[in-house]
Amino acid sequence: MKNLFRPLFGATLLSLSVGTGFAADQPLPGYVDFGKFTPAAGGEFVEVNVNNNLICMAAKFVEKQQPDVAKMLRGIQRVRVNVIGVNDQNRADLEQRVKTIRENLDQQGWQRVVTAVQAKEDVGVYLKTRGEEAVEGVVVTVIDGGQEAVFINVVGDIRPDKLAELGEKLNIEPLKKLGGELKK
Amino acid sequence: MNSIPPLEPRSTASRRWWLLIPFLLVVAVLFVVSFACYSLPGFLHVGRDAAALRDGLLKTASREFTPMIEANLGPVTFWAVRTGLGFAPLEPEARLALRAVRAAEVSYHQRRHPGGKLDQATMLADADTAMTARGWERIVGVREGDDLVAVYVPKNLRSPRDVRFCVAVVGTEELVVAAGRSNLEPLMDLASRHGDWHQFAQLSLPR
Repeated sequence: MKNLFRPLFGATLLSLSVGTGFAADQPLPGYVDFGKFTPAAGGEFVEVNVNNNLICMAAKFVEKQQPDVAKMLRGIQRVRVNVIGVNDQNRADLEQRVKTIRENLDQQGWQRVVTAVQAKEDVGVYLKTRGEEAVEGVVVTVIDGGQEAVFINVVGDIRPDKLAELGEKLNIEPLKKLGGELKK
Repeated sequence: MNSIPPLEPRSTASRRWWLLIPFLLVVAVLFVVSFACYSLPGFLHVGRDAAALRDGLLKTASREFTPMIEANLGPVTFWAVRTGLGFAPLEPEARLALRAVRAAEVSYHQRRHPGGKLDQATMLADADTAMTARGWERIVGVREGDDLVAVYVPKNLRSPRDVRFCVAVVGTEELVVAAGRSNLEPLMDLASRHGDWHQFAQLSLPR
């Protein structure tokens, strides 16, 4: 029995650590992988990828003045923003990416809240909901006048009535207008 | 007739005590010199994380840049600065801000031929690879015109009391890698005293 104890203990420890690692690697329900973007020659490029650790620290900054905003921020697990300047070399690729992402979201059961194609702007807003109580993920895709493409993914536990406020705090224009759309 | 009492011989212990002083002085000088020799190079080179970022950026662009200067100010140096400035008349906010900084490093390189095109996409990808191998992740990458800025933090960042970060700036004429370590709690305290700091939570996107 003594001879078996150490290997059994080691195997238990190993399986726990592997299990934990496996669980940690599981993507969150509201997470969408946009893929890798590379800055185009001479073009604009912005990439922000912030996870829960930093968001909670940001929440601490505002906790005293705006505790409700801090509470909302704490519910966010991840924020990813990509802004890519569109030029003749990457326009087709970016438009295809937007189309593919939207098709995938439709297939995965995301709720399409806004699809607006105006003269110069093509906007899509998708939500991953958990019942009526919470939004697990938000995806915003924008092709703006052939000048820039915007991809935004917010992952977390967000109340639907707080989405417009989230857009306000994170300066995401399509989300700011979302309050009215959701009420419809 | 009274005889003159013989002089008492000096105790050997007190003689040995005087002999120790020059010996201790030599030991102290040797210690100071050794400490200086050991620590001085550390002031002139960045730490391993900043060095990894620097080397990642320069992997394909080392011929484009000339290293100019590196500096490394560690916790002991900042402690000495804080202690020294403790006697100086400083605003409370300045003292708070000084408490926030624990260490700082910088590596500055100059472009050999300013104005030429750089493959910043490859530089950024190589830097990402190097930093990911060290357990860091890029949280911000911005390219506007010819300037590239990237900010990295450790993946396991937990406490605002010990925040490490690395920043890289690649311009047309220079490349700068900076790293730091800070305690954000004094800054949070400073922020809570001055209103309108909710903008810290905002991400500024181009309209």
